[in-house]
Amino acid sequence: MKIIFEDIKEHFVHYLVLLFLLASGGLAFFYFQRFPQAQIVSAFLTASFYVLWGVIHHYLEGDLHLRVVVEYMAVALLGFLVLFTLVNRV
Amino acid sequence: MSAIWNFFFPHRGNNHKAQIIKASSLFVLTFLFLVLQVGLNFFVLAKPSVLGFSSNITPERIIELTNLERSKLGLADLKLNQLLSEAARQKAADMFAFNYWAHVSPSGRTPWTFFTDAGYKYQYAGENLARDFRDPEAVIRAWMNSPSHRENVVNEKYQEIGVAVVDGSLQGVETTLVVQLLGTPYGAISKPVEKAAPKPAEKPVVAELPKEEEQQTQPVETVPVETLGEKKQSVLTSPLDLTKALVIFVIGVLIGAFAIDILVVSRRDTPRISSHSLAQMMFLLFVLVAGLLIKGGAIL
Repeated sequence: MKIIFEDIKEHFVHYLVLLFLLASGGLAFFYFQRFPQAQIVSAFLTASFYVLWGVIHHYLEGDLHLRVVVEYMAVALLGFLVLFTLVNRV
Repeated sequence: MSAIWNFFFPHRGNNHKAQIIKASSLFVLTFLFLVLQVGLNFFVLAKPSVLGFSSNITPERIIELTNLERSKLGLADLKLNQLLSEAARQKAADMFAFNYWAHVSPSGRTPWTFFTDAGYKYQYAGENLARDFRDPEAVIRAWMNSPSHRENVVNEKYQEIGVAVVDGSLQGVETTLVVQLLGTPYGAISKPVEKAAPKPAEKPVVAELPKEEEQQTQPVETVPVETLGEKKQSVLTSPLDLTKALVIFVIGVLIGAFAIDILVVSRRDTPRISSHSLAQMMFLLFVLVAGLLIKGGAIL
């Protein structure tokens, strides 16, 4: 836990932005629960902004690399497809 | 054992990153997830008795809960009217037969047509629809949370109610339709209302419905209703629940793998070019929470 807190402390503003992004995405997703298309758009935008966050964060840290971007895209794609599938199953 | 070690723990052999959280494995996982979902769709079509949709909604319970909401506001209970129930059953059957989810059928039949075809002459009429709900409480809750549907449920103009709960396949998906028809018979003495005297056949408060038009007298074919209100044998589980279980498992494993990555790599202080495992964990937690909060059911 100490390691996690140290990491957050080191990049406090970045994680705050990420938290805001994910919280907004979550709220939008919940708000549009009776509107599947809006939910899908919310999920897509959250995933996209997540990748963008990763790119900007690593650029500012000076360790932006294609492999890093691909990793964020892989997780974002999995997350989006999971939510897309669940919304369409409703 | 070494395969598990390689998959979940970062070490020199896997370049200090667990195999499962590498981009290549994540893409493979995504592909497998999609394949499983496609397979699930085919299985649902082939074996609907195993994997399908079932609910424990009954018309009696819907009426009971509706009257409970009305009583909270001091309104009189709605009385069950068999003609309205029959009209509701005909409406549900029509939706299944002609495969539509709307107040007005593709051929232009308005909800009021079902009232009159069942022999119910109305002074006021209203309709609420629901589908894909598991329990009656969720149906009522959804209606009460929607201003237009709530207005129907707690409208003091209505005196009678009819409800149909019918299982079937709508737009390729097994579901349970709930049709709630509310009405006041023509000529009934209604409580004085603030607005002007009620007009005959007044349009209900469901704003989406088109204006009532003069219906041409044509013979209307009623759709034969089979096994109305009869509940199908309960299925083993639903595709939604199965998918949710799979999501919990996959996302849970990934979150665990990222957590191990944080602990091991940070402790060793291993320099590497990689995404932040903490950020990845946060995103996956968002996906997990959002996915678990998805509720079934739609109202109209």
